[in-house]
Amino acid sequence: MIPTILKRLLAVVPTVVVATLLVFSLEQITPGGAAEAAAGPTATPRQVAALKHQMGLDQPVPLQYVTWLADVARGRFGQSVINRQDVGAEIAQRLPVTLELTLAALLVALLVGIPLGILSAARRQSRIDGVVRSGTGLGLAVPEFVLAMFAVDVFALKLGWVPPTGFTPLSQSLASNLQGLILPALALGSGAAAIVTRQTRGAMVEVMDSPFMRTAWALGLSRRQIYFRFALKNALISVITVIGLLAGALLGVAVLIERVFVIPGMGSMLVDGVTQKDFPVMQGVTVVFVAIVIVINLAVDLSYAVLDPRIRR
Amino acid sequence: MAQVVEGESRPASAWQVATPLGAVAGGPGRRAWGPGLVLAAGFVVFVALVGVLAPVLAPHDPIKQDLGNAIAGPSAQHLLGTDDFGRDVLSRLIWGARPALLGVLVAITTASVIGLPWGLVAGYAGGAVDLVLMRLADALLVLPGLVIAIAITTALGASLTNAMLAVGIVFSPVVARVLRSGVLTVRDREYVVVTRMYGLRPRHRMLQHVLPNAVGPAVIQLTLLTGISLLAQAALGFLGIGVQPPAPSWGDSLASGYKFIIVDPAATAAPAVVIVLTVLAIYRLGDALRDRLEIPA
Amino acid sequence: MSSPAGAPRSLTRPQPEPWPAEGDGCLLRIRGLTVTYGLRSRHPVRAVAGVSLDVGRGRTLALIGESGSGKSSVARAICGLGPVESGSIEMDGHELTAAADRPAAAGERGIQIVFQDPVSALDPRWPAWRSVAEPLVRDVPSPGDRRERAIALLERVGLDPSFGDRHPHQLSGGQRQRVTIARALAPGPKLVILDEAVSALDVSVRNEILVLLDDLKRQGGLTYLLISHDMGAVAQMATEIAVMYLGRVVESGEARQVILHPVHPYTDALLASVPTVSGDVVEPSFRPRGEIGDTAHPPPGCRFHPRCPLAVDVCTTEEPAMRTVRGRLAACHRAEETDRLRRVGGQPE
Repeated sequence: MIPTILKRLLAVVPTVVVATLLVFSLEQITPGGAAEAAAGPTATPRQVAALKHQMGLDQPVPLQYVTWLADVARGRFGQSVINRQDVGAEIAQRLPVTLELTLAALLVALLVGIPLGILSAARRQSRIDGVVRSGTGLGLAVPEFVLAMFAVDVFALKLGWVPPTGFTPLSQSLASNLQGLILPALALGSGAAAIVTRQTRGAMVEVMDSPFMRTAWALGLSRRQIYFRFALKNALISVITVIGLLAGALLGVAVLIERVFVIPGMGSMLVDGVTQKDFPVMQGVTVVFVAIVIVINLAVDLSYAVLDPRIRR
Repeated sequence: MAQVVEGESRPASAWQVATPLGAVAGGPGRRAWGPGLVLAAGFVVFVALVGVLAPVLAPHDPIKQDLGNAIAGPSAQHLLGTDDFGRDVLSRLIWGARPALLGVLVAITTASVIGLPWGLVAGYAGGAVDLVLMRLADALLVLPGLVIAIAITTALGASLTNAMLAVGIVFSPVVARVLRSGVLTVRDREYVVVTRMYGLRPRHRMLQHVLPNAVGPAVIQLTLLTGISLLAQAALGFLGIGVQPPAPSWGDSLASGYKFIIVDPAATAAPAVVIVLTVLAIYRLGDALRDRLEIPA
Repeated sequence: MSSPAGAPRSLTRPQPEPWPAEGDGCLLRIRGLTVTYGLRSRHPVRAVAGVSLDVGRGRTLALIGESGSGKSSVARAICGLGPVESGSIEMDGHELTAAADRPAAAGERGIQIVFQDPVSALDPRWPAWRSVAEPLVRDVPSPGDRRERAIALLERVGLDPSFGDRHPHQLSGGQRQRVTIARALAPGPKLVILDEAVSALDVSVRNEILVLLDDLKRQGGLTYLLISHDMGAVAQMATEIAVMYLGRVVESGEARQVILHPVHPYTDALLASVPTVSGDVVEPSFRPRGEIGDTAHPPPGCRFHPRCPLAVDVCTTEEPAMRTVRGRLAACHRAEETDRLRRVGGQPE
């Protein structure tokens, strides 16, 4: 068991190196130079040079990378070029928001997707199956943020069931926090739900079609037993495989949803920094996003190894 | 689609899961030119034509503002109404076809230019080269695509080309991986191996035999990515990161329409419908391409 | 003393010349060839453990044995398409193993090969003429000229010129094999290696191809190295036969003699699959038990001893050298006696 964990941890290192190198190098390759961008169009060459020194950009590149990495590892992301606020502190505030949203969306995806997938598989080729399949097809094609916009229009603005924008932190009020989260989570989770539905259905159908199942059926096990003991297990394993990838994708799309619902998460922070080339913000937020994704994938990898002894190596 | 047997068959990236083959038309199978395919092809051509003929087709100047007439609902003058700057929604939609298709072209070209040589070299060379190149690809595939694309766009500067370049860069490891497995399949086939006895250079083998026979799955992957890159373009435009205002784009139309969605939902619905239909049409064409390429050759 | 996969001990023993056809008459000379796969990995597999062969000009040497005997490894080693650990391969007096680009050198010296699988032998995207003309790309720059020559070659192998424009999936197995043969003939080779070239074909087609190959040989003054486990094809075409088992040659000699009067017990068993040879009915004196051994871990002593009914103590400890018996070479401790044993009904006494 321990060697498996160690091996997986070791496998993560190249990913971390590549990701951090990528994020770091963005500042180096930006056309026009990072210091120039930070200084603004009216700065004199001397001001730019001073800024360059202040930002540490005149050091040899490998040294810059190492110092930057060390800082990042300690959570020191620098100051935003736009508003001079400490990036680390701001991330700390916004991170729980984005996490809550993403987690809620993931929950939606699982709670909707798995039952639908099971239903679809159990009633294969029926009208229900057809409806589900079309639904997922649409869910995959319609971008979540578009769905979000119309959901807001109908459920928030016209029907008034939930507030259209804004976000109440958990610490303030659980009820309004959840209320404000329903629509965003549903919208964000729609695409993922479609994927989970298809995965579940596919996995169940595959087991149901296998010769093994026919033997079990012939041996007299009831249909329900078959479904719930074997096919479902296979389906769940298949879904777990995908959770890591889904989480990563959801984090990305959360950026869009945060914009639609005006949720003060990390996504909006990232977007705001783009046009101004706010490197501390961009790098800080990206690194944190990447770290989250890597951790989630690691967790999935490990739980996968625990659940399915065949995968354990 | 279950991955129970070996760890090998797990999907490597969200892209592979997000557009399962047959997303629109269903499972594989040789379908002739049925109505669905004709519709899809026709629609894509239609969108392309609209983009090309935009100066002729659009009833109004898409960036001309008319603040006195802002957020006016649909009328005879403005079939889809006006936006919050008084600009004609329909004209902006028509003109938006240009950056949409252009941007997709940039993204796919970038993904190919980077990803194809990457996969070809890795698959053909094998050994340490392959190992390093693929580890690199795997590391990149773990990362959240949209976030990385935004990060790259920040560095390059916000514009349509840069944003789609970033999207292409994010896609390239997927392309590389797919081509590499194609190359591995083909590399040891007799018609490749035997050419070594003819005194011909490796380049001949790679370009004349390996690449053409290995590229099929990569092409299919690229068509899937075409659909996704259109969605990415809409998303980035919506965030204001792609096409810069006041130039029209579908993503921007979505963003601006959303501001007054309660008054005139058509202004938001129109670009949404256009985007979704175009993406579906592209997926359908991708399915057809896959069917054709899978004839045992 | 056992001979583990890594030990070269038994290879240093010199092997006598296979048969008197030497000197100028010898086109391809192989001495002490060893082929090991995964040389630097944790489990190297020695597929060929010291093989020596001579192929005389204008002859057809058949290399026979079960799958796993190492025959294909020998073929690939000759072509430069497979690894060579040690040994020498001399073609027309030129040593091939030392070349920087071994496959190109083999091709230069007049060696070509026809493989077994007609499906993957041709590029599915190329019309037949283009595949046939490919060996000429370097020396014949004009595509028009190449096409002409390709069509001529196709006619030589019995295909109408119209076949030139067809793609592989439009051709039958036999037709594809003809195309592959035409391609092998394009550079004007002296030695053509036929690696199970007819094994994948239907019986009826197989015969046609064998006849074609025979014609081509006589017309073109070719030399063949025929690799096969199909005794029927061997009986039809071979002038000499060498029998391989687990990476070594156990018997070799003139074809008719080997077939009618095998010396080595393994050859005897292999021939059990030949129904008739020119009217003589060949009856095996025994059938070997078990399956072919593991190439990675060959048995100690004589490699065949676990399956050999004639095995005695010395067979389990000492690897038999090739010895000349009745004008042939065989690697068996009891080579001199086997003839007598067969006449007595094959039971060891």
